[in-house]
This record gives sequence, structure tokens and C-alpha cells, in this order.
Amino acid sequence: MFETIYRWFISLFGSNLAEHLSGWDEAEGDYTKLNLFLIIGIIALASAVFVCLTYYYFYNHPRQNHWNKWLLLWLLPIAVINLFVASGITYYDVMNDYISSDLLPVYWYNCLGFGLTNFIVSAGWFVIISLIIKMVGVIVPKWSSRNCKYSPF
Amino acid sequence: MSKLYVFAIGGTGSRVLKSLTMLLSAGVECKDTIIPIVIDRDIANGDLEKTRDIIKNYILVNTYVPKEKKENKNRFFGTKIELLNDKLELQLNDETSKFSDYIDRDGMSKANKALTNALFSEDTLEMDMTVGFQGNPNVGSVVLNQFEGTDIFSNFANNFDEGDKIFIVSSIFGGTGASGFPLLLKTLNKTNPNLSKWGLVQKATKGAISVLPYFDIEEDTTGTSLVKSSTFIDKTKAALDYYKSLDKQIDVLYYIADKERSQLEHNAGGKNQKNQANFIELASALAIVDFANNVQPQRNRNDKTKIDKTTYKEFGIIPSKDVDENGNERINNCKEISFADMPETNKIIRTPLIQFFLFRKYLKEVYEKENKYQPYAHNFFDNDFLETANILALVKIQDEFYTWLKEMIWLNYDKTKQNRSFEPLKLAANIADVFQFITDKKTIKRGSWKYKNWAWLDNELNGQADKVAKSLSKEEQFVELFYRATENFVEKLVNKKK
Repeated sequence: MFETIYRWFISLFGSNLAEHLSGWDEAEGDYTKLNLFLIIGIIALASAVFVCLTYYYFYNHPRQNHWNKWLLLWLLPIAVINLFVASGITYYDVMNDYISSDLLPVYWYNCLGFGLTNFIVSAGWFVIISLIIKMVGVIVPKWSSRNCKYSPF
Repeated sequence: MSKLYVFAIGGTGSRVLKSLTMLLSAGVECKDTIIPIVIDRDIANGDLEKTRDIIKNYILVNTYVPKEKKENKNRFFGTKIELLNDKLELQLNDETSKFSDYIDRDGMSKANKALTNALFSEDTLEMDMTVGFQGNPNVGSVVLNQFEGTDIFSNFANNFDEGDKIFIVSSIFGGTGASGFPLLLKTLNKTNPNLSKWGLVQKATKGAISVLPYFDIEEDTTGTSLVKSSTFIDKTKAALDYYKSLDKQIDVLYYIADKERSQLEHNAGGKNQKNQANFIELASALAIVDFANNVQPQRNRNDKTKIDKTTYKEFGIIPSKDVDENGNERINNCKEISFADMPETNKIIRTPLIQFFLFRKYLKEVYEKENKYQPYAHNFFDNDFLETANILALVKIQDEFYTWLKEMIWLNYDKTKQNRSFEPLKLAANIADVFQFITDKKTIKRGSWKYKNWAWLDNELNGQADKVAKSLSKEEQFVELFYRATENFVEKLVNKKK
């Protein structure tokens, strides 16, 4: 699932990096290496879940329920962190020649493009999880967030 | 619920009634329905006009606030106030402007005219009575002797039920109050075969407060005024001497006075007479609350008609003590009274005043900014909601409440203080520490570790929003919600022991 989502944005980071992230191993001639789409995807999803739960239930603050604070103080930071996580991991692989030679060349801007993809994907997760929490609150009112149940709208 | 008919006589009567309405707005408990009747010949006077507006708004708000039930906690505006014939004032039949015309001096025989001239000065005889009796009880006692023929008085008698009580508020040092009180009491106690339920009125439990001098007035620069504060004490002595005859004519008689008197601007009467609120008026209003809550009908009577004894009550304050910088005990001189100086009264007014003040403070300082974000208000209570007629009436009373508190401290626009001020709450906004507004509490927690200042109250409002019954009307929910949140403020932040 994660790979499919990331591949929607393949134009941002290129097919060579995509193959590497899928776990392509030149020596084996197969996708036997760690699937980085999965790892980075899980990190993006888990961090979005964690931050959403913190926002809606643990921190749950009446001064944070303005839509602009939801966007700028919560969604944006987690998306930026995920941008750095994704571009950092891939750039590390580029710098250390962990990318199969038949997939070269992969440049720094491909890494940044993937970081940008992860930024979009993690922001998407944050929006979806926010909506799920809001829906749960509508169905089971006692589970709704006391102070942020109408955030961001 | 039994009714308490409150006859408020003269300017002091109106101002005490205003203080009572302020206390009831804040949720001070009063077990009876209050039916105010103002007796004042100066019906255009500013104090009465203000009181009339406040009571009109109070009655409107009282119609929609949640009534005390199992699921409702609200006590704001909890006591019902009703008007007889939809009128606050007992309109006297006679509207003669000059006293000489009222007694028809020109139509008198020569001998009677001479006697009249000997009894009353020319200034008094030519006095404009449309602005009251200007400190002349001798005139008031003649002119006010016409209660019985009025519509509102007949209506009062016809509506009177078993268990209803009567209370009279008047000052002793002016004209209208000093003369009106004994006259009214005499009328209420005498037999009146023309009114069907008069027997109930005659044997009803009756109380009164007589307010002794509690302010002075500036000298009249024109030299034409008949109102002089130098005469207050002499008039009081004379009236008190006469009031001795009221013993056993009334069940409970409250007295109140103040030696620390502020000097008010001189006004003979009319719309310019808008005296600043005074702590004595608040304390006098508490006499009405005490009478309603604590005086049992027929308590002082053996055979239900004759009063065996009159109970006399006075109001006092117990100065609080604290410690100065050198560790010495210091007793408050009570020039500035706070909650701490009134341990008994505190039990009645402290929590309601704090709650109502916080309610207004929030609406003024936070509501407009936050209502679109906070769940308690989201798509339900918006800025326009405060402009609806019902809520506007509530907001107007809150503004009057603030002015009332301010006037009990300041005589004029923050320049001169009252000689004895009542300062239980700090009125100026403290942005850094919004809950630090109770004078006798040096430190009030800003909230919890997580929610501070207004965020703490918003969190309470959001939490209480789900507990307020959705079957209530929008206005009811609004008042109930704020009552619950401000109640939690008092319980969790103000009264909580460290």
C-alpha cells in the first residue's frame, strides 16, 4: 500500500530511486533488500497517528483548536520532519553508494523530491487521521476531543 | 412559592431595589417571588429610571433562564420578579405640582390659611413636588396619604395570598421615605372593608428597613434647594423618636447607617438625580433577602393578628486582620471593605458575585474572539447571538452590574473614592493573570498545569457543554453552561485548599 501511494508521485523523485526504495538488489537480480517505501511509510503514518492523538486527546488544548494552529503548529512540523526523514535516508544511501549501480544515476534532487513526496504523504495521513478522529467523535460523542473536536473545521 | 411585596419608597428605595436586582441577577438565593412597588412622587428621577430598566431586563432574562431542577444547576436570575399591573410605580392619584395647591390654600378660610402659613414656610408651600418632597417629611406625610385609592394598591390587595409577606424600604433622613414608611404601615395595618382580601394583608408578616444617613450632599450653590445634608441628623432623630410608636406594629425592623459618608453631587430631584451606588444599599438589599429567607410568617404572633414583639436587626461588619511587613497584626479600618470583612455575609454573596463577575468578564474579554473555535459555541453561539433581544437584556444587566460595583468604589470616574468603598473584586483587567480579581485572595491559581487563564475556563466550558441538557432552549443552554463553568472556577480554583 505504501509503495503504491509513493509511486503516485514518482515524477518527483524518479524511477531509479523508486527501484532502490522497492529493495532492488543488482547482485540477486530481485527485490530482496529492505523495502524502504514500507519503512518510511510506516514512520510517516505512525508519526501522523502519534501527533494526531497528542493533538486531539493528550494535549487537547483550547488555544490550539484554531484551524491555522492545527495547520501551522501541528500538520506542518510533522510533514517537514517526514520530509527530512525521507530525504535524509535516501541521501545517506546515495552518499554511501548503497544504490545498485544499474540504477544510477540518483542525484540529491531525487532525494529532495522523495522528501517532498513524504511531506505530502504524511500531511495526507494527518488530514485523514484528523477526519477519522472527528468521525469517531460524531459516532461516539464521549470519545470526541473535548477542546479540538471541531478542528480544523 | 410565596410572594414578598417590596414597597420601595423614595430615591433610596429605588436604589436598594436596584442592589437587590443585582444580587438576584448574580444568583443570591431568595426563597420568595419578589413583587416590587415603588412609591415616589418624583417618577422621572434618574435612580428610578435606571431601576425600572434593570428590572424590565431582569424579568425578561428570568423568563428564559433554566429553572432549578435536577438536571439544571443555574442560579443566575433564579428568583422571580413580578410587577403588579405591569407597572413598577404606584402612581398617586393626585398630580398637583405645588404643595399650596394640593392643600388648596387659596380656597381656605382666613384662619386656616394663617395656621397653614404658621406650620409651613413659604418655600415649602411653593415647593415643586413633581421632583419629590425634597427632604420635607412634613409635606410627604400630607401628600402621600392617598395610597388606598390607587389601582395598583387594589391590585396588590386582590393578589395577596396566605403566606405572602410585605417589606418596606425607606430612608429616614429625606422626605418621601421618612414620611411614606409610617403612613404605608398604618394603611397596611388598618381595617379596610372595601377590599376582599384585606384581612390577609392586615395580618401578613411585615418587615421594613429604615436607612439612616449614609451619604452627604454638596451645598447647593444657588441657595434655593430645600435639601441640605446638615439637617439629615436632626431629621433622623426626630423620625426615630416617632418610629418608637411603630413598636409591635411591624414584625421585623432593620436599621442601617454609616458614619463614613461620601459627599454626593447636589440634585433636587428629577432625571439628574442619579446617585452613585453605595455599599449601604447593598447591605439594605440583604435585609430583604434575610427577611425572605429567614423570617417565618407569623413568627412574632400569638393569635396570628397581634404582634407580640418587634424584632430589631442591624447590619455590621467584622474587620479582617492581616500581618504587615514587620510581622505585626493589622486590623482593616474598613474604609475599603472586601469579602474578608464580612464572614457571615460572605456565605450569601461571595460565590454569586464572583461567578457573575467572571461570566461578564469572559463575555467582554474573550467570547468574541473564541466563539468560532471553541466546541461549546461552535456553530451555535456566535457573535450575533449576543445581539439577540433576550441575550442583550442579560448583557445590559451585566454592564449595570459592573457599573454598580464600580460606583461602590468610585464617586466619579476613577478620581475620588467613596469614603467607605466596597471592593470585593478588582475591576481592572489583568491580562497576565486574568483570574486574579478577588481582592481578599492574594493568589488564585491560574488554572491547571495544562490550561492557564482563559484557556482553563474554555476547557471547562467545552467540558460542561456535553452535560447541559440539549432539550433546553439555546438561551437556557447558554446561561446554564456559564453557570456550571463559573461554579467550577469557584470550586476548583478559588475555594480549593492548597
